[in-house]
Amino acid sequence: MSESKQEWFVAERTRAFALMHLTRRDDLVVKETGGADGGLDYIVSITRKNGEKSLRQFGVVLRGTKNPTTEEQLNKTLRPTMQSLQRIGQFPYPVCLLHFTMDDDQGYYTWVAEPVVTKDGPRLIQHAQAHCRKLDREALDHIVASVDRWYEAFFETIAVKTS
Amino acid sequence: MAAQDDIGSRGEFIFCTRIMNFCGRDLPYFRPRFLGEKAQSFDYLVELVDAAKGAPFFFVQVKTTRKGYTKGRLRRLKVGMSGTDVRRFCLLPAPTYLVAIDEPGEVGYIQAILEGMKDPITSVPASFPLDCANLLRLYQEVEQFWVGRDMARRRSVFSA
Repeated sequence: MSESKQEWFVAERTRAFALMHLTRRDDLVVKETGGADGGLDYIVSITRKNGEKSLRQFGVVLRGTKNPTTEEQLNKTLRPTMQSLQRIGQFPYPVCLLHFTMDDDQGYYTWVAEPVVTKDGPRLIQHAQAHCRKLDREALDHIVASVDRWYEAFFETIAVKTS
Repeated sequence: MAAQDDIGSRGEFIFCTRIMNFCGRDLPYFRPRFLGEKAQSFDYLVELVDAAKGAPFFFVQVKTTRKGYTKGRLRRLKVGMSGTDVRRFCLLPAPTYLVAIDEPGEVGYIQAILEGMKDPITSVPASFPLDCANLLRLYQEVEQFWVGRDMARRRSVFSA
């Protein structure tokens, strides 16, 4: 069995898992970047209530491995990936990394550029280290809510209405 | 890919995760190849990975539903296949299957389409989930189908 063959299957199944998870919410539109977008695999847009596409988007980086792991182990495994993403440059919008393990079908996520809202306004924390958590529907809702909240605060900061 | 109005696409993602299950092996049993939006009736050509002889394959149509199951002892997923598609599947000299996806449950069930079938299918029994036990049985069934046929091509008018 060649290692590259296994890697190919891991990558393909990882993509399918990511799409399966992201489409659990019917307000997300997933667009493949084709690798053109600075290390990102997908750009995910959050649609408005009427189904219209919005400009609120976050990037997704995909990774996958064959063997089961724990959050702690995965944080170590992803260290080179997180560092290489840092080298690509600072992301101007939220980005998270999704990781799937093939043998137990488990998904994990960690923020690469984490959207937070502080009393001083919106911030985008660029992480050099992974802080993995299990990915499930609740986690996906949390990711989307964080992104949404960040854009609210961001637009409040920069938008100026003219008469 | 627009997620909000396309449970069919979501069904295909679920199908791909299930059919490419590694089942504790170094490689999955199957490699699905999407035939494109315009392919009539057939959604995937699925190859057997590392088969003993040749390159065995089968065809699949994936149907996805949110309608749930019938009541009663033998649960059936309320999803089907048109009579036209059933008859088209029967014409193929290769194994053909319908995979029914329960979208909210993210599970798939497989049903063989066999020669002589012509009526539309209105529901699929939940007897054969796409789990590791049935993936192994599917692999063996398709491999056996092709082993029993000598498909070697030895002559062509276009050969020197």
